[in-house]
Parts: sequence; structure tokens; C-alpha cells
Amino acid sequence: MSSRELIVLGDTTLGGFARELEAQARAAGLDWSVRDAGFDSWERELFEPASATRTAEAGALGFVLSPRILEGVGAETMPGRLHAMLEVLKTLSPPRTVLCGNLFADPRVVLPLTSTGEGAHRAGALNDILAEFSAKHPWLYVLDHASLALRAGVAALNEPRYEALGALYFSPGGTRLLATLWYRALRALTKTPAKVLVVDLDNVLWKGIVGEDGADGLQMGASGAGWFYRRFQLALRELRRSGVLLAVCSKNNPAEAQAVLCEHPDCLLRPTDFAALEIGWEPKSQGLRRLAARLGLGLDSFVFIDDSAFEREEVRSALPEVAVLEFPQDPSGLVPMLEASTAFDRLRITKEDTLRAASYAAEAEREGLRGSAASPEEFYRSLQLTATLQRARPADFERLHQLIHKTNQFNLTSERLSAEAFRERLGAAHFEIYGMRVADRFGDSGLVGLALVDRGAGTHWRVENFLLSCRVIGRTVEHAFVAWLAERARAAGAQSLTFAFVATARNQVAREFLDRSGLTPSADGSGWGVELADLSGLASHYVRVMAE
Amino acid sequence: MIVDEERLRRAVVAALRIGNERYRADLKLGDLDEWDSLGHLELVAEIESAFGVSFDLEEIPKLDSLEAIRARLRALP
Repeated sequence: MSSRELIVLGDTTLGGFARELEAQARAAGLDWSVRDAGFDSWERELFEPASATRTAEAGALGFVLSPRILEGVGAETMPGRLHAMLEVLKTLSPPRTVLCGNLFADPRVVLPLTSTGEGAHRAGALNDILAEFSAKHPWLYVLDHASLALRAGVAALNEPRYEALGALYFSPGGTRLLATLWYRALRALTKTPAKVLVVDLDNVLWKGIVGEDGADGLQMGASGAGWFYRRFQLALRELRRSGVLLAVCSKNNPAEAQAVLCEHPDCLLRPTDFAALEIGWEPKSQGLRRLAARLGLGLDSFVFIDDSAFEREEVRSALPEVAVLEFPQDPSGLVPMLEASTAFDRLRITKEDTLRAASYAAEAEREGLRGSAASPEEFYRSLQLTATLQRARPADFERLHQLIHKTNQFNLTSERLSAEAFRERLGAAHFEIYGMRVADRFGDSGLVGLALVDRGAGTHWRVENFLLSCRVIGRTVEHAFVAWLAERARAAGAQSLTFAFVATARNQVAREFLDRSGLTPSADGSGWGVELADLSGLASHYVRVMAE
Repeated sequence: MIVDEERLRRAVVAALRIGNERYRADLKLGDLDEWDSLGHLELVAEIESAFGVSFDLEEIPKLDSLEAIRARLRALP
């Protein structure tokens, strides 16, 4: 990936922050350069059309506002100034990705017993504005400076001597902490999060060993040695809610381990919380391979946690693509191990993320039905499939962009559009971008398909990319999508429709679809298409299509 | 205080984010692009935490060379 630039703006000196952030990003192998727009630059640079920030090549913008803007005479004007800033950001061309730290008040007040809490109220009001804007405009991400201040303490972020000398709110030490939060945000903008967290059981989910201590000897209760394990289980539940699939890989007697997961009164995680379980006596690398096959996901999206150094080493050497976390010496380090890992970092949790775990459970039921159905046709019919097709809306931006970046198998070109390029297409008059939602009797899979259509001159529609999340492959909805697009193109007066296709190492599934699609390869080899005069080869008979 | 030269070198290299090859025992403010007025604050902060000391506001600007920093550290108990 080519180098990307972040310009940071704020009300104080951010030169040290820019240097530190760039150094941390580079040390982690991220190709980001970070530039400071100058002292107290955030409004000047934004409102001046000819400023270096406004005229820079497309890049991301970062805002770091200090607690000082909540103090003194100008403080009351801040909500209006923040609104004005957000309005300008909406108009920037080319569009930018924006990261904005939220606000916290400096709590070191003169009269601790009678503090009015005015600063905290002001910070809260600004943070509400930011949160509301970010919910509507997915290209703006809010970074939680307020939580950082609570975690680290304001005294660790600000050092009055340095503020006096350098007009910098964040001291050199505080800058390091702040830059680590921002580095993780840049990483999340650049890399897709891991999809699966595989955990061992004994001395990971609970203290003790099932085979030696028995179910009654295991500790995971609300007090004593089990407490850290309980907190760890709660943290895993939170990861699951954020879209991470949980799985188990454990060397145990399957019946005994299952009994603990099903019945132990203190165990918070139950078998249904896991997308898959591998419990037995095989090498862990074998178990992980099996899990990957069952879930249909690449091992490079797996993270593995095990208390045994031997098992970690076995997995590391057999499956170098799996991320193996360093296990803490003491159980108090269990939750911090997760917090410190960047593997699951995402800047926003989409609806599809929250549905993911349930959708994998539904998939298992679907596979059961497939196995018992007399024929594929009967299986498709019994699913009661519906596909809802609609023009992409701003609220869908995050999910659709996620699909562009995460979909490998059913992705006709694998072109990874940047967020900025995707937004440009969303706004371009000759582009039509369609999303597909799929549901069946087992549940709603959410927004799982995308077509990027360039209407071009009008008589010839070209689908720049067409892709489908792997979780709905094999239900014929892709055929329904193609047939619907062809109908729409014909209704708009087009004569032909072509789908761009670029073979990659991983999109064999997409190629197999084309072979069965009723489309034919174009003469120049750049794609597959259909003359719209005859659409008889395209229909799908098993899907009820609804268009909004 | 006896100044541990190795600790001093590590602090300078870390604060200014420079490679070891650019370190010299007689560096002063302005010798390197990294040691500008902002880098100066980062360097002094790193020295403070490396040696467990805290300098007064007025003396921070005067610690503008490694020699001055050594002299100030030596004067500490």
C-alpha cells in the first residue's frame, strides 16, 4: 500500500505529537507520515480555503483539542465553533477521513470541595456533538481521549512546566500515551481486524485443570483466584459482541470439558457463545486447521491464546500466519493482554459486526438442512430467501467499505478502494452503488453484497466491482442480484451490462460463479457480460427480490 | 551524582529518535534537526525520567548542551 498522510491540527503545539505518532506507526510497519499543521491551527487552517491543509493532496485529518479550550472567556463559544468546523469538513474536496479526539476537562481545580463541574459539562456537550456527527458521517471517527485521561490520569498527560515552556498541553510523556492511542487508530484504518479468537480452556477460561482438579475444583467465581478468569470471560463476551468469533481449541476429554462449559455455575461463556469447538488430543495446529475449515476463514485472520509455552510454540512453527499472543505470567494480566493487542482494533462497530456470532450459529443450522434436503433445489426453496436491493445510503458507507476490504473469495476484482475513493464514487453522478441485504428463515445476514456500477455513457453499464460476503455464498442470491441489475439497466435504456473481472490467488469462488452465471466472457478479456435484449439465462428462482 | 554516560546516551537517542551513529558526547541544541526547541523539551523530559530528577522551569532552557546537562546532573546529590 502506498504511503498515506495524516495532518494533525489543534489548539496547542502538536509537533512532538506528530513526530511521536509517525515514529510509532513506522516502528509497527505502517506507512503513514504525520505532519503538524502548526500551533493553534485548527480553525485557521480549516476556514482559510488556500491553507496548506485545505490544498494538500487527499489525506486524513486529525484533531487534537486540549482541555484549555474549555476554559476562560472563549469557552462558551466552543459548541458553535465545533459545529462550524464540522460543517467545513463536510465540504472538503477531495473528501477526507477525519479522526477527532473527544474532550475532557482538566480536573485540577482551585476549590475541590465546591467545584461546579462546569468543565466536565462543557466537555460532555462537545462530545455529544461529535458522537452525533460521527453516527451520521461515518468518515469521521471519534478517538476517546476522555477515557485515556481517566485511565492514565491527567497528571500523566500534562506537565505544567512543559506547558509553560512549549505551549504544549500534552507533555512529552503524555504525548507518548496519546500517540499510542492514535497509532492504533491509524492501524485500524490500514488493516482489517482479526476475525477469530481461539482460546484454550484450562488455566485460560478458568483456574485449574478439568482432568486433574475435576469440575468442582475449577475457579472462575466472583471472588478469590477465579476473579481474574471471570473478568477475562466477560472481556471475551465483549469481543464477541464487537464482531469477533470465539472458538475453543483444547486438549481435554471432550465430554468433561463440554460438561464444564454447559453446567458449571460460575462459567459465563457457554458452548453457544463459541462459533466452533475443537476438544481432543491432537496437536493444536491440527485443531486450528479444522476450525478454519469449519468456519470457512483463513488462518491469517486467527488469534490464538494458550497458557502453555509448548502449545504456543507448536502453533507458531506449524502455522506462522496465526497471531499467537504472549501469555501473562500472572492471571491479573489476562484482560490487559487483550487490551494491549491491536489484533481486534476497529474504529467502529457496524450492525453486521454485532450480528456476526449469531449469523455463524444460523449457518450451522443451514448446513444441517442442506445435508438433510433431498436436492439442492429443495434446500434453496426451503430457506425462504429474500434479497433486498437498494442504492447505498450514507449510513451503509462503513459496512460497504468494510466489505470491499474484507471480501476475498467472492470479489470479482479485489480492488481495495480507499475510503476517500469510495466516497467519491458514492457522490459521483454516473455511479450507482447498490447494496444487498439477505435474510432467510434462519435469520438476517445484514448487508452482504455490493455492486459498483458505472453507468458511463448510458447504453453500456459497467460493473466496476461486484462482491458478496462469504457468509451468504451458496444460497443463489448472487444470481438474483445479477438478474435484478440487468433488469434495471435495461429499464434505464442500456443495451449491455459488463462485470469487470480480475483473477486473484483467492477469488476462485468468484470465477466459478461466472461460469454458472449465464454471463459470457467479453472479447477483450476484461470481464463478463450480457446483451440486455435477452435476459432469459439470468433468473434466479429461489429468491424473493425486493427493491427499495 | 555520577553521570552514567550510557544512560545519558540512551535517553538522548530515544528522546530525539535518532540512530546511535548520530550520537556524539558533545551535542548541543541546534546541532541536529531533531534537537530544536520542541525536541529540547522532549530531551529534558527524557533526562528527567531516566535520572529520576526534576528541573526548575527557569533552568530547562539553559540545559542546551550535553555538557550543560552533565554539569547540572553532577551538581545534584
